[in-house]
Amino acid sequence: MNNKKRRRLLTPDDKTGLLFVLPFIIGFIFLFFKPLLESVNYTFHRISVDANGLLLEPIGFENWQYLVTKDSAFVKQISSIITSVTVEVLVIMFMSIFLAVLLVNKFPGRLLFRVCLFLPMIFGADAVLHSFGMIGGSSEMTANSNEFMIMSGETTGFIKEIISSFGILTPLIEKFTAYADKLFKLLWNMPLQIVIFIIGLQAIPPHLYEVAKMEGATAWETFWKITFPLLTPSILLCLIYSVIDYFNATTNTIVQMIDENMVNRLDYACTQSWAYSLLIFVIVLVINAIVSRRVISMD
Amino acid sequence: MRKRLIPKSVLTPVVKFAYNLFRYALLAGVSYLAIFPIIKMLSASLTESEAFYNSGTNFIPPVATFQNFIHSMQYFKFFDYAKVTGLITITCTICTVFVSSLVGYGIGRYKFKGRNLVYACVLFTIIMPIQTAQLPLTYYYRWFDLFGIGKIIGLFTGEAVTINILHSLARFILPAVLGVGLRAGIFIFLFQSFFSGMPKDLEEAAKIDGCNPFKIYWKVMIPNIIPVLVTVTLLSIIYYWNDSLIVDMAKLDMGSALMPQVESLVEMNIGASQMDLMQRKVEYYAILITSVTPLILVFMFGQKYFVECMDRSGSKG
Repeated sequence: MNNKKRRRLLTPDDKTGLLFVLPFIIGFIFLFFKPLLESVNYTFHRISVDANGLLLEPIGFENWQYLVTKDSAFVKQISSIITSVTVEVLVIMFMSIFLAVLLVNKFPGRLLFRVCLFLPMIFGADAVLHSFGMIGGSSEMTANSNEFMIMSGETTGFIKEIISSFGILTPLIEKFTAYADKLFKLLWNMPLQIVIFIIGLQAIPPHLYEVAKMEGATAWETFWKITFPLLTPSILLCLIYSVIDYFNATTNTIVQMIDENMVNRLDYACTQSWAYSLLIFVIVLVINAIVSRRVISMD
Repeated sequence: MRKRLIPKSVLTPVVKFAYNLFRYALLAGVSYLAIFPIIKMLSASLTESEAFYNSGTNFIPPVATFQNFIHSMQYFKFFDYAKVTGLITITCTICTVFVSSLVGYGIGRYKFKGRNLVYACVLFTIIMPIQTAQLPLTYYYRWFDLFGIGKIIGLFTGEAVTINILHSLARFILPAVLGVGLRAGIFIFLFQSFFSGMPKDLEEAAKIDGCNPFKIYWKVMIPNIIPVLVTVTLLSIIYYWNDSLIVDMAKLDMGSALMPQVESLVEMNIGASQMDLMQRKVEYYAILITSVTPLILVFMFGQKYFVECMDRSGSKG
């Protein structure tokens, strides 16, 4: 943009557009891209911390080589996380659309349910998440995300007790509660998606539903012909958000692995987190490419 | 009752009753699952440690007591920490929300050259785990040099001018103002997707009336996406308040932020005796509850507007 020829090529629209995003561009370059480039640089060095700063000792591609060929734990975690993300994100999407549909219309008690489902967001601090394991009376008070699961186990344990006291088939309950365990974890990742879908649902012009009603469309048809297509922008948004959120959650094993390495093997932690981020980036681009073609805009 | 998923004519009273029953049962079940740990935490914080030791927690504590809250306040300086965190939260939230709405508007409404590149950059800021850039950033703030101005001065004076902002509030406000604050990428993403979904005629009508682009953004677009604005503000407050990672890395001059202190309490307790541990546990829950109380208050205050705004957005059509 420095030479005059280029400047003339910019239309007024280009200029105003660029003006709007200017703060971000500056911030991105100075406070994001530059430090990131530095951290790429770290991946090719061995780092030791000194009183005056960091000592860098070039080692070439050693870190990357180690990551791909020797670090089997990391590779294994990546593959397991990809399978679980597909399942969990799909469930999150279905459930949050479903819950949003249930919560969108007025009915007595709607406010209460909305608040209940949004509360996990407020209690989302790491300190809270780490504390869940301790309620059950385990003797150690360590911050371990696996204890998140202990807590959820107790949740369903309570339900299990009630149901089994009625004497219904136990294996069936076992299966059901196993899902409920997972459901609990998912619910704590869902509040934002539900809110986005509620907003999305309410943005659908009501006259479309009136027309559909007059034409005699069934509820099923109305949902698939009106609600769903007009919800596609929100779906894309939530899909990408959920995937990224799942990958970057602090309860995620890989994120924990990277965090641990940040303390003593800084250069390698940078390598891991770069490999991980590139993977997420590719996944998001693929999802975006596939889904965005099917998104229907309001215009 | 603007719309229904199931047309009225189809719904016989029986079906309607079944639908309602189903809806309530499902929502109640899901809500129970979601808030169970919170209720347990609350009840544990109200239980005496001895009772907690003997029977664990029930939904309703045998003898409710505020002892834990009072006692924990003696060593946990909640108000000191909350002041620091509150200051960071308020200033950064205002900056982040305003700037990310601007950027989101730019990306969502203008097809300028390089738009896709900027958009990809936004996505990239969301995706990259923040830990990766934290260390280089720490050194950047330690020897801070605004866009290389210090270096240019250094060409004349022989020594580059740098300031240390690592321990000041500027360290948080600067990224917030420049649209790379805590989770700002997600907010930009949210804003752009809602801005881009707005009908074109609104903008064109305003243009004919002679509004400049900023006025269109401020007077026409912002009032139309208030639900999103409220949501984002709420989220930003929650994220900043609950953040322990970034504020932990910067030891502030003003004192410590809240959440890192809460987390440090967990580590303190390793190796304590069983009875002592119980006492600390219940007090820890009391501290947790106290720590998120301001957020709950904000939410309760904002909830009215939040729900109202969500409802109003629909009637625009």
